[in-house]
Amino acid sequence: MQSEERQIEIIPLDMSNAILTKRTSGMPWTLRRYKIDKDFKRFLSGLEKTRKGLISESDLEKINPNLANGSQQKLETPTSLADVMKLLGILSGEIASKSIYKDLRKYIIDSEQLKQALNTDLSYFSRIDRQREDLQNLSYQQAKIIEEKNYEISKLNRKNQLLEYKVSELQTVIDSNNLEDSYEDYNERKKVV
Amino acid sequence: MKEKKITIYNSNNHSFEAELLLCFEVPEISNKYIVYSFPSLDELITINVGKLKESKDNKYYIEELDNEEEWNFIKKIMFELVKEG
Repeated sequence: MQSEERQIEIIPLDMSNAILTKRTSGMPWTLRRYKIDKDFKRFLSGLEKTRKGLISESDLEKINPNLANGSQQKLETPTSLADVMKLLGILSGEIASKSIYKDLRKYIIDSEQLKQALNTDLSYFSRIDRQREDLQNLSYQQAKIIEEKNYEISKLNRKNQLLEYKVSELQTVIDSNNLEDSYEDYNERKKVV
Repeated sequence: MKEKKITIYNSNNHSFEAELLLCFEVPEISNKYIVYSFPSLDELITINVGKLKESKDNKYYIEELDNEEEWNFIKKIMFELVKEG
């Protein structure tokens, strides 16, 4: 029950180096993550070389309902079993264009895998980020402790310098006392002799 | 294959360079379509499809396709072209 396919004319337009403005609000219509491989190059060369593609009547009518005649318009709101059967026939015909169906399935699987990979990456990055934050906190605390210790060391150094100064003063006093003692001893010994 | 470049402005007037893959008119329904892609960091690219409208001041605008049926129509053309290419 599939509609007869016929050649439809496609006129290539030269839009290279054109400046265009995007006037879209929702999600764009895209073939997501198409692999650039041999087929893709064929795809591109096909797009460049070919002027015509095979399009079924039903495809065309869906795009431009004005082209549809009376009996085909009934398909939009099926009223009889025959219409439903006809519609089912067209739908199954469309599903039969398996290359599109298979490709769509592949894109869905590819995007699911991509989503999973992205989620794994995201959780990995957030874990790394948490670790970096912990390390930052730790190094901040360590820097604070080092600063406090340095302050204590400088205080102890000052005390040490003061003590050394006092020790040297005392040593001077002791030395001078020793000198006097020895001079007195000398005088005493002289008297005895 | 020689790349054809186009510049696309978004609604915030930011410009993006894209590769023009195909632009064609389907005279029977008086619609023009553009197929393009943005540069990709890996070997996978996303192919974007839009409807091309020319304004009175000779400016071109990319508009969304109307519905799933129009999308399937364009995809079918593209895949047919692949087969024939």
